[in-house]
Amino acid sequence: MDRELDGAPLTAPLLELDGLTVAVTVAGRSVTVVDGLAFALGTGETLGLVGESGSGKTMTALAIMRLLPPAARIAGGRVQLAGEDLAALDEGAMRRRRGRRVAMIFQEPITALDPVMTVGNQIAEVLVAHDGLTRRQARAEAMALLDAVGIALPAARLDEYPHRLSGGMRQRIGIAAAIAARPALLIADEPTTALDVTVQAEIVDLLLELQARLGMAILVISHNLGLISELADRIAVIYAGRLVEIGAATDVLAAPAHPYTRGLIAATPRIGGPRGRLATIPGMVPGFAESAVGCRFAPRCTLAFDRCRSEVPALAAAAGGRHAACHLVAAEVGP
Amino acid sequence: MSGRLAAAFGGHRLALVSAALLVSITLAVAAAPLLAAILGVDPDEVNLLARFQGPSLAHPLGTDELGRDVALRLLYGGRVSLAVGLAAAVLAAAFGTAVGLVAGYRGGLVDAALMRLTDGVIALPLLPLLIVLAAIDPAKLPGLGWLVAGEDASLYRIVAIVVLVGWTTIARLVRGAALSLRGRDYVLAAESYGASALRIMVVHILPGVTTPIIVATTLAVGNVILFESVLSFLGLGIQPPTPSWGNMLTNAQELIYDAPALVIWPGAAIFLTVIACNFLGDGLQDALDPRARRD
Repeated sequence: MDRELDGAPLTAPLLELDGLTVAVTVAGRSVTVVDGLAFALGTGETLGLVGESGSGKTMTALAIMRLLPPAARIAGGRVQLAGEDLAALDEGAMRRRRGRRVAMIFQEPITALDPVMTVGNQIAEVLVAHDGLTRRQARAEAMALLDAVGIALPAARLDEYPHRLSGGMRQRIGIAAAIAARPALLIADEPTTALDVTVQAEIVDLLLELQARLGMAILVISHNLGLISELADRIAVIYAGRLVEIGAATDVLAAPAHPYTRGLIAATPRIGGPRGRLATIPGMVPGFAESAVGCRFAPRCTLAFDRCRSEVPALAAAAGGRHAACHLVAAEVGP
Repeated sequence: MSGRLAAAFGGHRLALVSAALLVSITLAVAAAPLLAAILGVDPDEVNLLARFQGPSLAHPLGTDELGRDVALRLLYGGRVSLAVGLAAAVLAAAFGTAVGLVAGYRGGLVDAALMRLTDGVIALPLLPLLIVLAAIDPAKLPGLGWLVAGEDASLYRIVAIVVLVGWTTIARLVRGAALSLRGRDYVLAAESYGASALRIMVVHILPGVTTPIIVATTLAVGNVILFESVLSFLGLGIQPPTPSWGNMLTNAQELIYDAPALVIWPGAAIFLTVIACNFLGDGLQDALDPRARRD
């Protein structure tokens, strides 16, 4: 593998975010929650988007889907998917691409399914919308999809309502609906957070299997580094709406370059590791309303110096081919 | 109806009695032409020699000031009143639901515009407006003549008037419910699969707002029957000789001392039907909405 290319996707880029900026209007003031985010995701590749709660992960996903809540809007940048800028499409064109080009699975399988609609109809709905299938064809196809996502007795499950199914099964249904129209990109927003640990592993295996079979790219969003390490080829770490580090998953996890990534990994509990209190990162994620001079992580960073508080660090190549937005990293490698 | 629903509804005795009463009234007015044929009496037949008769076998409720059979006129009037009440309530509910769904789901400017329109309609003084609208002869409106030609013109007109002013309650109810459902994950999920706005409104949001719609529509049937009575009483509603409970009251008002029965029968019919609709609406509310149930 060419080490120089670690900051770039391994295959031809499918999704390219270029300076994506999302602003939310709070009490009449516009606040930037995703700030100039730029990364690329190759065809069939998995990128893990990692960050704390409130770091802008979900806003990034919803911005790609163009499903931001009413108070939020894309304030700048481009979202190139297979060569077209999603941010510039009209609503009707974007709707036809949802499900077909890019689909999403959600954190809460309990609330992401319509409680008064059978699971078969919820999957068939996608097929009717995108493939123009008849009801009967869609039903047969929905059954095949249930089988593909590992649901036993798919014929019997088609006519069940969501409340009769377990959380793991409901997440499988959500996945079946998301992949029904064979999207090139699947966004998985905390796909296992609401599930039992054993079920989490099953869902991870299912996603890997489906990816191998369908060749879709996956953007997996989580604060759970264990999940990310199992799924992702590359990892992008965001902090307070900005990209702080991106690189091959194994490299980033083994030798993080950015102080924030280091802190994040240190705070992950390990079996067999030292007992006692887990490491924490001092301080809190800054409120987005706070003024953004310098590195946003500087107030919590033990290594911060004057320049961190006055100048925003640019993404720079770090040792091992990764890229990190830190003055220290830039100084280390040097121009 | 599921067992739980039936049990909850059955526990509401007044609602049960009201439902039975409404069914009986509906069956009776539906059978009016049949009864007329059996009795061999024409409800519009004037017989000046048999005015103000008391109850008899031939005329169970006696005859009115023109010698017409009161029982049959009551049944025929009920057909008009109930049909107008049901048609206007259902049409108003359909229109209000559409407005509420679009406003609640679309939000933003569309919501603001539709809700200001709704507020505007609510702010109009109802009775003067109804009187002005009722004074319009739809047969003379360009393009509408064919629709309202003939004897039933006043009937269509009153339905149209009630729909025009009556959709606001349901529009606001549905808008509020749609607003809260719009933020649900499953709506977002459906959007993420590429479902159209129309499909999301009809398939994913509408089922969640049926309870308030059903309850409000049931209550509205009673209100519309009252409206119809008021307008007919003022001479602006259903035009004689077509009987309605409202215009039967109008006819009887000057005879209230001479023939009080002519006032009592249509008045009682209106009173019972409206109150039955209200109790039924309350009962449905309790049965369909678990939060409102009292134990």
